[in-house]
Amino acid sequence: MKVLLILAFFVFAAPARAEVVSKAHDIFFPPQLRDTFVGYQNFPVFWWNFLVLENQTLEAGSAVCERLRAQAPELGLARVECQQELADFREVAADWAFDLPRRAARPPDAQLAASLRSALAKASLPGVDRNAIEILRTDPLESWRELEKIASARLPIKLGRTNGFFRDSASGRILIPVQMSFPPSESSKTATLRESARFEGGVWVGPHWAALTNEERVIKDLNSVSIVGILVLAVFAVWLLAVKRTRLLYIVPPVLVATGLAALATVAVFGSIHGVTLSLGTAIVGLALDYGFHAALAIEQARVWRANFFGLLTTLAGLLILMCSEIPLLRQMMFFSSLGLVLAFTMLALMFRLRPGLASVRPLRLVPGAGAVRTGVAFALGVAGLIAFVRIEPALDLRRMEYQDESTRETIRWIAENSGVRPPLFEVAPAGPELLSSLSERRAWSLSQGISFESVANYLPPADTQRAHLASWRDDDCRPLRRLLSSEEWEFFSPFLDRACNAGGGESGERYIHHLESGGKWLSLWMPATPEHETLVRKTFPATSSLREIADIFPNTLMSELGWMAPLASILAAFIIYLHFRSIVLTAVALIPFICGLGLIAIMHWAFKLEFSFITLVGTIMIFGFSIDYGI
Amino acid sequence: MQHLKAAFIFVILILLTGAALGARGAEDVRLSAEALAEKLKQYETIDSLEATFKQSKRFKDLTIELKSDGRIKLERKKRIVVWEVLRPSPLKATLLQDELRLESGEGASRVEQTIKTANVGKKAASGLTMLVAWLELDAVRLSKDYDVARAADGRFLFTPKAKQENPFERLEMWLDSKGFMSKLKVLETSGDQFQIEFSAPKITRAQK
Repeated sequence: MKVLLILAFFVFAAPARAEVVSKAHDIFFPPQLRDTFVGYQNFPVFWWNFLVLENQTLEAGSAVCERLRAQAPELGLARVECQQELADFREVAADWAFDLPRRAARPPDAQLAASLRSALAKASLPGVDRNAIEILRTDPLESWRELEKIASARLPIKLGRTNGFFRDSASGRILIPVQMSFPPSESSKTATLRESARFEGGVWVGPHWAALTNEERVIKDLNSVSIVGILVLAVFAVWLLAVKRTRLLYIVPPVLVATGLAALATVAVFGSIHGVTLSLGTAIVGLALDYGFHAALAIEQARVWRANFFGLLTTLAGLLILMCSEIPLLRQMMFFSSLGLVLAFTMLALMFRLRPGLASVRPLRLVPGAGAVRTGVAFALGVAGLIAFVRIEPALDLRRMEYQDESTRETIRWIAENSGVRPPLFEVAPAGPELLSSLSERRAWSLSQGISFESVANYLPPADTQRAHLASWRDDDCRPLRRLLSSEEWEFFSPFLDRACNAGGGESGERYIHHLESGGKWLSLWMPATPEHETLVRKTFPATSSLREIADIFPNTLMSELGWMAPLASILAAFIIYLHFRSIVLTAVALIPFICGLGLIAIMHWAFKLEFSFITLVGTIMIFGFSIDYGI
Repeated sequence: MQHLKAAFIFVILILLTGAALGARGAEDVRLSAEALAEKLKQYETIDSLEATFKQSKRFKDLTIELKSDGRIKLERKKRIVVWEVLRPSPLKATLLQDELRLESGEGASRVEQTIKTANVGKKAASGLTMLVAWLELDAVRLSKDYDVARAADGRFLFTPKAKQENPFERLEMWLDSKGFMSKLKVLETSGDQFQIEFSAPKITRAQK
């Protein structure tokens, strides 16, 4: 037994090591949609988050802004939208200006010369910042204004700017949009940012923070379950001591070992074990304790173990049917629970066979009596259970599992009010020669319908149009233009003219479109302002998805599966019970605890206006397991 | 012999004193707020001032000199400066405290732009806002923000006190015989510099 206890400790502890415990969200999605879910998170356009400063003065906001901008590289911040300086735009503006010959045909030389002189007049203004001078030298036709217009349309925050900040004068809140330089899945970097960038009155919201808080919540819940489990065991041990039946504690180590071995096997099969599996699956495996208790408190071992066996079979019926789910998390959870239960049953059976007196104790004097009230209550619960079985409406929305504290919820609500956009629809396409043509058509269609659209086609024309434009920037060393400009003017605008007069020489870094590219794929976004626009986009471009759709995949898939799994599991369990009792009446009686349990759940949910969530579903599986065992 | 020695020492002393006195005369003389106000008294009662300008700008890392000319109008109370460039290309820049308005081109190619200084950043806007404030030539404010000195050749030297917040390293001003600014030379912290010569001033004084 000592060996078993030590083994229980190490085996049970091993799977709890952080590196094998997964906290990722993608396990909730069927494999064919997991790529879409994970994929969209890799586009930098979705890496925008917000820092909201509550009750802070503009001076305090300036200090925050300055610190974020100064530490941006270490903190993993790609953009900080507050009190920007012209220097922040120089690289993107330089790329944009470099690619002007791709976007636009060369104007007549006289017009070009006039534009250059106009830019020169601006550069001559006294006190003009050197960064502004360099932008004028690189982009004298001021094509950066088109880029500014596109960028403004992309982030439609209704709040006005005050001293370089988005500020809500009504609430005094300052909103600082921040783009990270890493995807939300790299939560360790988000955690580092949180430690380094704590600000008084500051609330961070966005996809990175949601991913981090959800993952931390999983771990926190896992730790809570562990602590509560230990406490419950301790209380149970104390109670056993009080009733002088401490031998029952010998049942615990085999169950612990079985749980640990099941976890190791789950890691071996799935590569990791999700925190939700560990939290909830362990509870299911804990049902195996009942097999030991039944055996320990019984007189006729053979009869009890036969009953235990059929109890195991009825539970496995439900678990194995659910293991057929498309949802990886359910498959993992059911694998872990089934294997744990089987191992625990086997180890307990062996223990009672090889050491029959080890855990056996005198039966407890707990024989519930019958009565009219108890019968009436059971009847009412049974009726409620039957109604619930038919009428229950699960609320399996994944967003209900998203943990947000009150201040985060309120901040998100305020941002949504002040952003003026509905959730976007998006489409992903691989790079290819026809990409720009196809996206240009989508852009033209969107413009004709008045629907806001963001794609690489907003920034670059189709390839054949680019070729025509580039051809117009003649590689003639600009001899006619040289005659129109003075040598000083030529030198001043040399960064622009060197490119303009030798067009065709390479491309820029295209930093202005990096936010739409990931792994050779390009993202397009529609931002419909009305439900009618949304319907129109979906009808015209059926391949579009929305984040809401992706989030709804989980509950929709699970609901459609439960539609056949729940009845099938119930019928199979009833059949197995019938095989044990060979009597329809006894089979029905054995199902009474489950029906009553379901009834109690239904009444509690109705009374307290609770939802039948995913967690409730897992709890119901547990109830299915042990209630039928009690019935048998 | 003793007389010669004494005379020699006396001459040396005179020469040294003279040199010292001469050297002291070559030093810039610190100007108090009152002294500066006295020098700029012409601007005290001015409501508006118009003048023509010729400007040349040199960039630290370029060999060229950018030349422009035009007209400037200062409305002191409203704190507005209108900088109208005629050459190299027509451009009218209206500098206000928090905004820069640009009007360029003519006829069909006329373009108007408004740039909020808050939207281009503190550093980018600081040069223009500093210059607008400076051109008001408010002696009290100038003395508060700058160390002011008078050079031997009559130049007025302005060195910003808060160097980190000022895009200008140093400003040099010349006044004409009537006490109006005739030339301004500015060395920016970036190493660029510009020089503006003013002429034909027309003033409107505030009514008492």
